[in-house]
Amino acid sequence: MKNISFLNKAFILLFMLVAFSSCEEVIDLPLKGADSPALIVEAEVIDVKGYSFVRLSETLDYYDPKEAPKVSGAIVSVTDQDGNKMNFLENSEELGLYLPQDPEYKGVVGNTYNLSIEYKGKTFTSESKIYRVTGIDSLQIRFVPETRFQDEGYYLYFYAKEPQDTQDYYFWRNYTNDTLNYEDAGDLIFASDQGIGEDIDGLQFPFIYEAGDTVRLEQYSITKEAYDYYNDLTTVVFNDGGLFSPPPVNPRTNIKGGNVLGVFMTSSMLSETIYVPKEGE
Amino acid sequence: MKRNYTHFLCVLSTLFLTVVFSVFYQNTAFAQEKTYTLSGKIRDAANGEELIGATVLVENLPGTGAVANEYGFYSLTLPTAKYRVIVSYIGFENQIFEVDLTKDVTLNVEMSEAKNLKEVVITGEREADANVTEVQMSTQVLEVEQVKKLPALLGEVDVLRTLTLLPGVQSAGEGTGGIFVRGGANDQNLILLDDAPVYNASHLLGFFSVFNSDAIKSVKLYKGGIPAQYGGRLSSIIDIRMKNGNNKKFTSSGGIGTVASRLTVEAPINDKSSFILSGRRTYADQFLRFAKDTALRENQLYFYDFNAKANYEFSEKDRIYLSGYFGRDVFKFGEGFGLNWGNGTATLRWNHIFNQRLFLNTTAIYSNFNYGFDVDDGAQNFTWRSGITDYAIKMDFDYFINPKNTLTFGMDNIYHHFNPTEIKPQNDESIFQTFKLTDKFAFENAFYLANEQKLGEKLILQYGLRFSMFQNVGKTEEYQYADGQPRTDANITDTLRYDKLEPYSFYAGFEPRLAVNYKINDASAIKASYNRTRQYLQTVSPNTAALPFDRWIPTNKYVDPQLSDQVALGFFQNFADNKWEASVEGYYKYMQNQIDVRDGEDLLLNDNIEEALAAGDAWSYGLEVYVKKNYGKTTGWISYTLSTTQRQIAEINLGNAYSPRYNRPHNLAVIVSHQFSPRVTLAGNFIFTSGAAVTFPVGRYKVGNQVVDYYESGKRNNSRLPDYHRADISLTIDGKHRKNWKGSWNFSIYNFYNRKNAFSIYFREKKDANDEGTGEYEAVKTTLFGIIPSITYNFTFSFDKK
Repeated sequence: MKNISFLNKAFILLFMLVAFSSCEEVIDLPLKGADSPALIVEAEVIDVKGYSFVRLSETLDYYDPKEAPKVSGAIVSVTDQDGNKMNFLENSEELGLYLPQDPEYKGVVGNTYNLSIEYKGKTFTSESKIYRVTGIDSLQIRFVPETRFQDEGYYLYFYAKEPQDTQDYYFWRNYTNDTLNYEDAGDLIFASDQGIGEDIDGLQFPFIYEAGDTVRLEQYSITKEAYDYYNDLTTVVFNDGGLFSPPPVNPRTNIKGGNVLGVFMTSSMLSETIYVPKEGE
Repeated sequence: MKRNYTHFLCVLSTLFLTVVFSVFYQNTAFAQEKTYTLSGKIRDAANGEELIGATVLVENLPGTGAVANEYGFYSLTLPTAKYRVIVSYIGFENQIFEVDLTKDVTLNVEMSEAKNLKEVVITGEREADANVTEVQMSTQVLEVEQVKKLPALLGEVDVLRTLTLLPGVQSAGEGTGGIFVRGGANDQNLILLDDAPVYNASHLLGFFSVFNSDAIKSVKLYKGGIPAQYGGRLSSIIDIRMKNGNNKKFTSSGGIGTVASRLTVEAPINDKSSFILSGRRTYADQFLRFAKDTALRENQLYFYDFNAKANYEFSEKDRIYLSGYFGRDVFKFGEGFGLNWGNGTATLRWNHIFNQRLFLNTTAIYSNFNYGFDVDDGAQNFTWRSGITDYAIKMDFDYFINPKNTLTFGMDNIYHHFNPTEIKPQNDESIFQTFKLTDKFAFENAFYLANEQKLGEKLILQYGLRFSMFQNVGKTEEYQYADGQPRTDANITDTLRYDKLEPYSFYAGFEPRLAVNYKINDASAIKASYNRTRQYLQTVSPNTAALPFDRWIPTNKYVDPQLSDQVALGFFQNFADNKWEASVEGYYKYMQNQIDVRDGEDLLLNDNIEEALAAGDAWSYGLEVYVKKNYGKTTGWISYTLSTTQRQIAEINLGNAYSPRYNRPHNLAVIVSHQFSPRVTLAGNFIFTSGAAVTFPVGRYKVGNQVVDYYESGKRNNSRLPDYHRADISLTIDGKHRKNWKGSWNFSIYNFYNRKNAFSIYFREKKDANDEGTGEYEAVKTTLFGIIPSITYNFTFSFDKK
């Protein structure tokens, strides 16, 4: 359903492009800075070993040419509803990355997890549950000739049975030869099952592959809060500040504790791999 | 749920009272002394159009007179005597009649345009000194013929856009159709086309309005002191009336413009009836054929309008009018993506003159707005339909009791059908299934009674009361939420189902209206007004500009009716024998139950729309200065507004008050038109407004590779775009007047000094020559319209009846 929420933007964008060539100009515009930086959290607890992590950073003034600062020295832990606590420790290779103390750690479907981050004397918390993930019936790779909407190339098609008795939210990560396809927020693929029937036959993903590529799809069962976060994130990233856009606001977050943004995403995950045929095959 | 019939009882009893009332008035001799009534209709001799606002003055009784109503009807009841009456209308030759009032007299007048007054006259639809003598304040009238001489974007004359050059009226910005009157939102304007509400008055997302100037006779805007006859929206009434059609001779007029062409035909059918047909279509998309990109050539982007009206006078006392409008925008991007939207309205009016003093207009109205998407992208295909439909019946009585009192009363009954969204797969391959949001239905009824009373020579009062009601009915469903809990999906305790026409939620209230005119002398007056207005349906939309897919929702048990109280005070002065008129008005307006959208909520596909909304208050105050020159070779006006508008809603912006985007303190418009010779007119306008209130980021952060703007909470719209200003110019050259043919060229230059006004400002990472990010960041201003020249050729072709 991401496509529907995108209709507004697509339409307006196209309209502007087609009807009148609006012109752009770089201007000198001073901005008021923030009173204090906000903590940015990207945290995931997944039911697959080696997938759970917490990444912390901070905001900086808009025109500041530095990289957004990574947060070091935070105390991070995740506790399930039975009180089993796992500490997440700072990674020595990547600044701002915190990984479970036990490398075997993974989430369990049905469990509820509490994230706790202590930083600069403040505690930030979040609670989130892991829901079971819908199965993938099959994947297909098909070659599509060039059309008005898309370039020619190999595309991934997806088949599944959507459970109709539950309200589900989906998130996908797509890898080409083990590299995540993620240039910008436009590559975030997520959906709600509202309006979706039971049979999903041949849903196309927007990435193009080349002959011989190895394609992997990871399917996640995210919570409504995580869905809202991704939805808001895309909205704010594609907000052009114009009349047709809502007033820009920070994405909603499921993390409490004050000046904080980001998401605590808990999910079950399953992954399927498919190969693009080599030339001549 | 207990059935609630309060509403129907209310409607029935008030209906009964209205009928009794009108019968009573018909049969009761009001006047004590022997009086008779002079009445009739005033029309234009050239085409038979009624002259709304023409006056009939009694020469030897200063201050005694009558004004023709919307259908050209006037009535004047006087003691038995001989009178000399002067019938006058601006731009027309006065006519003087001797009337011996020893019995009721019918005097129909046909007036001719003043031959020696070949000068431009800006004011239409009112007398020269109306600025001072009318009780109405906060009202603006546009003369369509005059608007046609002003510069227009791409040569397309647009009466709604011209309204935004008047005091107290703001536009959302260039290239958008929204109108914001005295701090009110766009959906708080009731736009009436021959009494039918037009729900979305924009073409091409607001570049043009749906009103084809060739088919329109008059435009009147009420922004305060709204008469009791009108209601249903908080901020303004924009009353647009279509031409009736020339009943003297066949006339065809039209124009060939840069982006659109128009053709109008009007003619008498017989002595008693006439018609008008008018059409317009853009051909902007035809230019796409020349596009280099083959994909662009396959696109479609156009709109069309069609207006039709006919009238038949089947007796001295009865006349019916049937009018309709149909227009549509069509946008198609290749085969895979289509969008279209449009309005259709129909109005059937019956004017009936019961007797010399009682006039009744009965109107049956249909109005529909709908839009649709057609998406066909492999398995992601669907059709999407949404709309709103109104059926209404109105009765409006004018009772001319005596020269001191004119009573108006009537009722207004509307049945609304809201069809939020219906999605259907186009074929079996679609991943979508049929999905429908619940339709909503409601009755909206109102009754009103108002009197305009002259107290002595100096004072005119207009006081009235409107009582409005809103009744939600089935067949529909509403969710029930746990008591005292926030309205979220999780707190839904029950789904309440209602049968067809079963009433379930009811609101009603009084709307008092008051206007006072104290005439200081012949050339100056002080006016004051108070009005309360109530509004029972609204669009929910997080964006400022009106989009065709903004959703209309009714008041229900979770959404309270909007309420506005406004006071205004003004000083009105005419100079140099009414050649100049000026006014200064101040207003204060407080609006309750103003709806805004909670952050991040989805509106299009939300069946529990009440969960996405939050309500609070808004207030606006301002000062409006208006100076206008009506006659002479040079005419025009200067309009300046200083105002502010704030909204405060507990759940939005941390509960802090914030500016709506359209809150722009300074608004200046200067419009000048000069007639160099009878055939050459040069017109120009200059516009200056403060920049729109917007939100800029205070910082940034990164999620993966994506740089995200960071906004400070609770500081919505606390920055401004740069000031907006622009000047346009136009030259109109009328061709030589041939026997049957009259042509005219209009050359317009929009934004002639090519000011790059900001449409929006956004922020991005600087890119180097190889399109790689540099790690530095910059602000980018987008501009919609630079300098735009255009040419339009207009013509009129006519021949007299054989």
